[in-house]
This record gives sequence, C-alpha cells and structure tokens, in this order.
Amino acid sequence: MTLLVPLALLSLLTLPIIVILHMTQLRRRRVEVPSLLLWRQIPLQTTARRRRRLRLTLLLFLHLLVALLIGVALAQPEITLPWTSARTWAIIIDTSTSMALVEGGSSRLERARQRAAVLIREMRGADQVVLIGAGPRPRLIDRGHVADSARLLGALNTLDIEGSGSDLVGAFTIAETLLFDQPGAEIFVLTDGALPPPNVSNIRFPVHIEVIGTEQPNRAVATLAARTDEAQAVHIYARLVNAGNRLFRGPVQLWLDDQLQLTEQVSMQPGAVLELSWTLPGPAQQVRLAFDGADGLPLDDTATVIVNNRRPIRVLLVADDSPALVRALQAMPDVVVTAVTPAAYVAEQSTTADVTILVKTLPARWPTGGVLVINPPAGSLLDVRGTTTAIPSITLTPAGETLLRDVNLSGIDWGAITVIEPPDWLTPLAFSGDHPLILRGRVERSEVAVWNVDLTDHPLTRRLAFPLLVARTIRSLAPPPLPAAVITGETLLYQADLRTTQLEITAPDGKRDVFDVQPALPVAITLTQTGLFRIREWADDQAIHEAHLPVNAGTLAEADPTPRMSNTTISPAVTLTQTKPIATPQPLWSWLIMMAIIILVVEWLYIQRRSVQEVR
Amino acid sequence: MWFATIFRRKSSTPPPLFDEAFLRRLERLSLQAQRTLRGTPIVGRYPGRQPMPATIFSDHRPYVPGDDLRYLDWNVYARQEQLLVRLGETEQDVAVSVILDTSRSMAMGEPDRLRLAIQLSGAIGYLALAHGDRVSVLAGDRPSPVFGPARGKMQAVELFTALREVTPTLRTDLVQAAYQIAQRSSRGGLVLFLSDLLTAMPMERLAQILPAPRWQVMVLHLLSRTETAPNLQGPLELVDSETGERMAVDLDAETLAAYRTAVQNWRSAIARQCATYGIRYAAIMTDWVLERQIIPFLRVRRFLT
Repeated sequence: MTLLVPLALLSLLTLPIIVILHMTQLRRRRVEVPSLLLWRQIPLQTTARRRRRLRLTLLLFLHLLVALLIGVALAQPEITLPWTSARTWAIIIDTSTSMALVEGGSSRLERARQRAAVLIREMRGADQVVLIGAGPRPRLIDRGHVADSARLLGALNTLDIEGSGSDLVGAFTIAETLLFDQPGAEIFVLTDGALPPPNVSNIRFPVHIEVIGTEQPNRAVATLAARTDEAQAVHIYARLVNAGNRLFRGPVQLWLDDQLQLTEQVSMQPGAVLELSWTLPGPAQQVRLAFDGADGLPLDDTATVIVNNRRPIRVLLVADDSPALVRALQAMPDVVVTAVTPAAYVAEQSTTADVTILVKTLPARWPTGGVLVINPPAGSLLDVRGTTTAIPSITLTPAGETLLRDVNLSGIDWGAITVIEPPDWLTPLAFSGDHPLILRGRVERSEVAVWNVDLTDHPLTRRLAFPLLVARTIRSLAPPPLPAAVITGETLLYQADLRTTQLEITAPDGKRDVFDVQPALPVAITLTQTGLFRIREWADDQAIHEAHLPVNAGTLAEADPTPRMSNTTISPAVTLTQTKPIATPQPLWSWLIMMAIIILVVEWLYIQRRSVQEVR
Repeated sequence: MWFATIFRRKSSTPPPLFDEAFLRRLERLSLQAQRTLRGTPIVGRYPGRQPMPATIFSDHRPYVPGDDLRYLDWNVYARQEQLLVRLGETEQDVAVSVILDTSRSMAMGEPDRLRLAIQLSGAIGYLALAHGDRVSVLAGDRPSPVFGPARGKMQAVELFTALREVTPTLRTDLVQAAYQIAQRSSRGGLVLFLSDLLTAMPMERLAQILPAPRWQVMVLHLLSRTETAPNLQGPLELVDSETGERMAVDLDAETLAAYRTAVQNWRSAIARQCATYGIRYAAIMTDWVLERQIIPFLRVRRFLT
C-alpha cells in the first residue's frame, strides 16, 4: 500500500485529542430512576475510585475508528491488488459519409458518439481509452485515463463526418500500435456497417463490432462529370443510385453557373443505378445536379463539378525576334503571351507572369515562377563556356524520359549549341554527346528550364516535335490544374505557383484557413465539408490566382447505407505471448470515507436505541 | 425491529382495563376476609364471628323478649315446652378499602406499574362489589375517595371509570390515607395497599392506625425489573423521579451486585415488618400477566379464595 499524501497522516493527531476529550468532557448519562432509596445503600467509595479511569466505551471506539478512517483516507492510500489490472479500450468510430444518415431523430455518428461516451464514463481506476476516427484517413483523436474523461468527451463532441470511405484497416493498425504494450486491451468498432466486413483475422486483440443503424433507403448522385467542346456546348454525365427497396420517382434539377437549366423526372428501380447525360448550350464554368432523395442522408443528393478548371498561363517572352516560338505558344490553349525585347525587359514584370521565356538574354537574377532560358549568353546566373557543334543524336536521361517521352527529337541537326557548366541545381535531361542540351532545375522560387540551342532558323522549329516540346515545357513550368471536383475526405495535394507564399482556403460555410506555402512543396488539403471551396494563392500581398473546387459526398461505395455486418465479438486468432497484466494501484480513500459514514450511521442508530431503552 | 417504532406516533387511547370474560371468571373468586371482621349482617357473603338468630342452625339459647319470633324453634317447644331461639352463623359484608399509590415512582418502568396497580384495584374492587361488599378506593393525596363507598355489582362501571381517570401525582402519603380510612369506618374492614413502597411507610404506624382484628391489612408490593435488576452500566447520574435528587454512580458488576443485595435486603425487611404486625404481604412483579400469573399467585398466598 502506498500513500499519495503521507503528510495527511498528521490528521491522526486527532485520535489522542478525542481520547482526551472523552476523559475530560465525558458527561455522565442522566437516568431517571423511581427512587434513590435503594441506590443510597451502595458503598460510595467504589464509585469515587473509578471516576478517574478512562472507560473504553463503544462510542469512544467508534469515534476513534471514524477519525482513523478519515485520517488515512486523507493520505490517499492506494493498494495494489493482483486482480485489479487496468483495462484499455480502443474505440474506433466510423466517420464515413454514411454515418451522417439520420435515423430516429439522430444521426448514426451521434449515436456512435453517445456509445463512446458511455464507454469513457465506464472507466475506473487506471483504465485507458484510445479514440480513433475511421474516416477516409484514419487518425488518432485522443487518448487518456479517467482524469482525462472531460477532455475525451470534448474531443468526441468535435468529431464530425470526415468523408467517403472508412479505412478500418488503417484504424486497426493505429489501435494495435497504441495497444502494443497492453495485453488485456480490447477494440470497439462503432460503425454503421455500410461497408464490407473488415478482415480482423490477424488482429491480436478482441474486437467488438457494434453496428449502429438499420437498413435505410438512400438515393445519391454517385458520379457527375462535365466537359465543353469547341462550340462551348456543355456535355454532362451523371450516375444516380437508388439504394432503397422501393421505386423512386422524382425530379432532377440541373444548374449551370447557379442558373436552373433543366428539370427532368426520373424513375429508378430499387437497387438500380441510373445513368443520365445531357448536352446543354454553354459556356458554363460550374455544373450542379440536385434532387430530393427523400432519405436520411441529404448530403449525397447534390453534386457539383467545375467544367474547366485549367488555370491560364501568362507567358512573358523576352526576345528580339522569335516567331516560331510565338506561334508555338499561341497554339496552346489558356496561354496569354506578352512579348518584350531584352532591352525593354524589367525584372519586376515577371512577377505578374507565370512563365518567363528568356531568349539569348539573362537578367541579373532569376525571375520568380517558371523560367525558360533559350540559348543563354554568358552571365552571372549561368557558367557559359562558349559554343560547340552538337552531334545529330541526343541522349535522354531518366528524368528527361518523363518530360520528353513520345517527342521525336531524332535526326535533328542541332548545329552549334551553347556549352555551359551546369550548377548543382540544374539537372540535364538531354545530352548531345557529352554536352547537356536540355536542363531542368529549381532555384529559390524559380523553376528553370534551359535549352542550349539557338532557335533562329533552327531545324527544330520546323519539326512537329517543336510545339510539343514547347507545350510540355511550359506546362511543366506552370502549376498543374485543379480537378473538376473531389470527394469529401479526399486529400488533395495542391501544387501552388512557385511565387505563392500563402494559400487561402474558404469553406462553403465561410470558414477561412490560411496555409504558409514552401516553394515547390505541395500542400496537403483534406476537405471534409461538402460544397464549393474557394482557393486563393497569395504572393505576399498580391493575389496571383483564384479557383473554385467543389467537394461532393456521393460515391458509389457510400450510396448504400445498409449494414452489411452485425454486432459481433471476434477473438484474436493470433495467440499473444502470455504476459502478466500490469496490476494498477487502486485508490482506497473513497472506501474509507464510505466506511466512516457507515460507522457514523451505526453510531446514530446505537444512540437512538439507547435513548429508546432509557425511555423504557 | 426495535427501531421500526422510532418515528411512530404513540397512540393516546389507553387499552381497556379488562375484558368481560375475565370479569366473569373473576366472579368465581372472593377475597379472603377474616371472620373477626365486623360487617353488616345478612348482606354480604362472609361468615360473621358473632352467632345470631338465623335459619342456619348451630345452637339454641333461651328466648328473651324482643327476639324475632321467626327464629323460635317450635319443634323444641312442642317436645319440651321451652321457648328456644335458633342460633346460627349469619353472612355479613366487609368494608373493602383500596389505597392506591399514585406517586411518580409508580409511573416508572416497563410495563407501567401504575397501570398494573389500577388493574389490580379494579379486579379486587369488582370482586368485592360482586360479593356485596362496600368498596371505596383512595388514590394519591386526594382527601376523598375516588370511588365509594359503594356496594353492589352495578357500581362496577363507575369504579372502572374512576380508576381510569387516576393519574400520577407527585407523592402519596399512605399513612395519611390509612388514617382517613380509619376515620371513616369505625367498624373496621379490609384495607388493601397497592404500592411500590419506595415512599417510607412504617408498618408499626400502620398497625396502630388500623389495628387487628377489626382491620385486616394487606400490602401488595409492586416491583419492577428495572428496580430489582436494572439494565444500567457505566458512569451515570441517577435522578429520583419523585424528589428530583441526583446521585452520581459508576455502575459495574460489583456495584450492581451490591445494589441487588440491597434490594433483596429491603424486600426482606418489609416482609419481616409486615409479618411482625400482622399485615399480609405479597410482592408482585410488574411484568407478570394479571390473569395467568398474578391471580394464581394471590390465590396461593390466600389473598383470594
């Protein structure tokens, strides 16, 4: 037995005080007798002799016992019993979209939260609870002991739907990792079971699967896609799912740029997937499809896509005369070319350009963003060592294979090429003999490509490969476009412009998040809210790009919320090495206080009984 | 369970003194009165000591003028031509006086000693009324009897009503009550004391006030277990229920043994004194049942026949 507050044992000094009080303050009990006639005949010397002696009465004993119990309780003793090992529970809560389905007035997730709260409140002694969210990306929510119950309940309340799909396997991995040193641990899975049963055969702990929810109908927009053609017509494709067991009839509404364009009655057989397509006159940037599924999960009754999410590329061409290059650039869609002469080139202009093309010229410092240097002259930025005659064949490096695959550069007489000593940050993509012909690298906030070739009347400009080479190079120097839409919970690796210092994301509910952006490092964004997000790139105080990204909840996998498993307990198939459970000390103070209270009640009853007897 | 009655309000209506069946059974008994007592002839059921002209023959005496002619023995006159009067024993009544100690000490103990005393007074009074005796009941310090003198069974209801209204008083002077009885009835009678005798009552003085053989004095000593074997322990402050005097004692086994010896000596002394002065004495425990224990005990002790 250990004492957490041994200093509290000083309170046992009350024991002698109680004894002294009994000796000094002991009052004789007054008893009425019919007459003193007979009592006067008792020899009185015996009573005088006994008066000074402390009498061990039951009341004195009870008082001492109560004081002793309270004194020891204040010292907070703990006793270690071999059978009082702590329990550890890992509670895995399914946070997939189907858990948002409302049944009987509350959502499945709410009921899972309530069940988890019950388990948290059942913790005693040194028990421990690990909360794990099993959404598309499983994560540890929190863990704690009895003292952390309030914090765990708070974390539980903040738990929300995290997206389509539930990675139970990943959640089990987290649980097993955290329960590694807890031999008696158990895993509780609170799920609606609207997913294939997980494989728990190799899990080393007992798994209790508690299915929340019953068979419910659901209608969802599983897929929505749109594209435009040259005539600006919008071609739309949608896939609707009826997961209920009844025929569904209802209107489907189609919106282009928030304008209602079409309402169409659809009919879906039970369990059927309905594929629809429309062609509507454009142009349009955004397509939204909505219908009333008349189910408990309205999240997946709406879907939105962006028709064209490619970002425009502003190219600044710094050259005296390069008509072939200009033609190649102008052939690229979404590219805006601005041409200046090297003499007129001002470095500050490049901050507004996504890609700067420098032909036979080099500035004092690298412009931010994408930079394509063609036939670089000698300068401080590159170590140019004259020119040499290239051999007809070129050799692609592995990195060059990625960029220049299917671009036929064979048989070209490259002529004189610039010889440079590439710095460490420049990687050759293609060699002509021993001399690098095409290089690629990143320095500070600049993505740099170098072509060591003079394009003036060059045979390359007359080859079909030239516009391909230009387009691929320019596209690789500019940030990639956003997808048309993402699924809730899906992690988006957002590659911002190299000039971007901050990324601002505004959720549909108006909540704004700002992320600091490191050059060339993608930002991982997990969007768990359905609706239209706004993404804005900032270069210091200047907004350089703005785009919209729809987040939809409906997927084919999440469309059917019917439980596909039942409540079950699965014992571990893998036999654990038998380790002795760690016995945890049990606090005794509450028991001692309870015993003290019981003794006080007994004392009260004893006094009452004695009073009754005296009355008799 | 003993604590089940802690919070229960106690009933204020006392139970009846007796039931009717008990009274019927009681009528078969009678008080054991001495033949020396002088009562009113032809009224009661007790045999008188003086031979009187009577139908029940026991002897003859010569006729003197003034004798009732109905008692002349005409058969003897026919045979012997002598006028003789038939003598015999006549039945007489007895003046029965019950003196009830109502001091506060009588109200102590469990069961209630005063209630037992009232029950005994009622039983004996009813018995006497049923046998045609004159009954009077004195209680406490009251100058006049609470009941009687009265005769006849019809007075029993009044007797019970009077007894039911008896309440404890501060003290009772039994000697004064005996003196009142002696003053009221010069012919003597049977006097029954019901008391715990915790108030000093000199038997010598009692015998002087109510001398035998005119008076037959009986003392029923009511004793409580809380008196003879008190369930007390430890340091106590004893309070006299009548005087309010206090006494500090430390009670242990030794002290209690000494107390019990004192009680025994006290009872023996009272019994001896009663025997010395011709007073009939019987000690009755208050936890005895009236019909099954006290009445048989009084028959054994020849208080009742």
